[in-house]
Amino acid sequence: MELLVGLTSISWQQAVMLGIGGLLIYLAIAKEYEPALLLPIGFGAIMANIPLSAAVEEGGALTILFNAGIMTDILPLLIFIAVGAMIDFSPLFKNPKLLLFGGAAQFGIFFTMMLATLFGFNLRQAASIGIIGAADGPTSIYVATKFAKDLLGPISIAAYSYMSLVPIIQPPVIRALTTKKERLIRMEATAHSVSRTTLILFPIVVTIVAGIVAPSSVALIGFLMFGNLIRECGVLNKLSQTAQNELASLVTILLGIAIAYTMTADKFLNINTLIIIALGLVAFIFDSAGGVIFAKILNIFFKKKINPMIGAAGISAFPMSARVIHSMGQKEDQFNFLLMHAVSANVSGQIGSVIAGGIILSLVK
Amino acid sequence: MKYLLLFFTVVLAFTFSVSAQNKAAVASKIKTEKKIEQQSVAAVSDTNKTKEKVADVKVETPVKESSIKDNFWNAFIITCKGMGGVLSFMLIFFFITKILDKMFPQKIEHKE
Repeated sequence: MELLVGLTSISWQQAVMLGIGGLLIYLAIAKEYEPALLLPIGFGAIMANIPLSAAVEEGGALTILFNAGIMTDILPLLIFIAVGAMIDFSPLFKNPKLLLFGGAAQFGIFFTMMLATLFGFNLRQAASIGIIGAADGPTSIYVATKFAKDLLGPISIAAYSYMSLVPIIQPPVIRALTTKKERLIRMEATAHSVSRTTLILFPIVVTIVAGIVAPSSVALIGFLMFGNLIRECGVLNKLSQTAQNELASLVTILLGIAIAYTMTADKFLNINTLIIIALGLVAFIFDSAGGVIFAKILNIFFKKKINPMIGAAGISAFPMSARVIHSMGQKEDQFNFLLMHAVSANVSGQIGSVIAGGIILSLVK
Repeated sequence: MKYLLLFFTVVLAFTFSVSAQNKAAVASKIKTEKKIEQQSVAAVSDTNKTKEKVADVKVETPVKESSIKDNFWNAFIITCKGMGGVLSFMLIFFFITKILDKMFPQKIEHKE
């Protein structure tokens, strides 16, 4: 009879959560929606919601992982090193003015933050929800850990799910905001090579400048740029490869399963989760819209017109967004090659999202 | 050279605006603290009671209720500052890329 205690004490909420865990695993395996993260979260959710689970009690495995890895910010910051090691900033130097799109396409973050306050969330929770629009999982997790630990589960799931849904979310938004004529605009390719010294100095200078102006962003931007410095310095190739592969994989597994600690039925099964997931979609839509509209505004002043679709690539979802924009351009005109410009905007989006995270940490008290 | 000048102008302007904001925040914090202190002292002199009551008065200091309207307004202000901040940062990075590219062009490295 003692062995049946678990079965007899299961609540319908826990049963639903077991189903949600299964759904996440299904999405990860069958649909390949960010499998590296959704699969550990899904399995962790199952472990966390088994009745009387020892994994989430005080001193339990998930509790320890959550407290040691996420509450201390260690895991999101380690992910930043891995992401930094994966980024090649050289496309930025080919057309630096596209850097501005990395800023404009963060509009969804702030718009969603305002919208979230109308749903009754306080400012700190609203900021954590808005940051889903950074389209950058580690930044979302980092900010949510600081401001709204209880909402970490739905925020992470929304952030990673929508990142994998960029090819579905962005095209209709872009088409709605641009004319065919605008989508046909061709942009000149620039053959410009960047020196190694420049690529080495860039992460160092950016960290110093960003750190001096907004000290709250030092950890975020610093770890990202540290990863990039490992990549560009040319003498730590083994470390760079490790950061890009083994470190990224290991930390992602731990991050995913640790987040599942917040996915117990009592914390996750409420109307707020649905609102957060809906607001996450709004954030992605307004990010894309912000970038496209900004490009259209710039076109009023520039002689050499920018294809406004490039603006939407200013989000951080790399390289997915760049590919989407390129293929949209090719659908309109098969000789229009937008990939290089889209990649530049996309890389700048990766910096922009981290900066937006740092600014939110500075401004929201 | 022109990029260098522009860059420093933007950095200085941004730094000044941030430090002005910080100063304003510190000033308002000091003002609020002083107000709370004055209220506590006033409460003490009014009631003329023991120190325990001073503590009670401090706890009872009216805290502004954060309504949806207030939160929305604060979020709006943060949106304006935030978007301005992000775009300023990107502008600064634009100048950094230009300056670095000018100072260390690929050609020089090849010659070396």
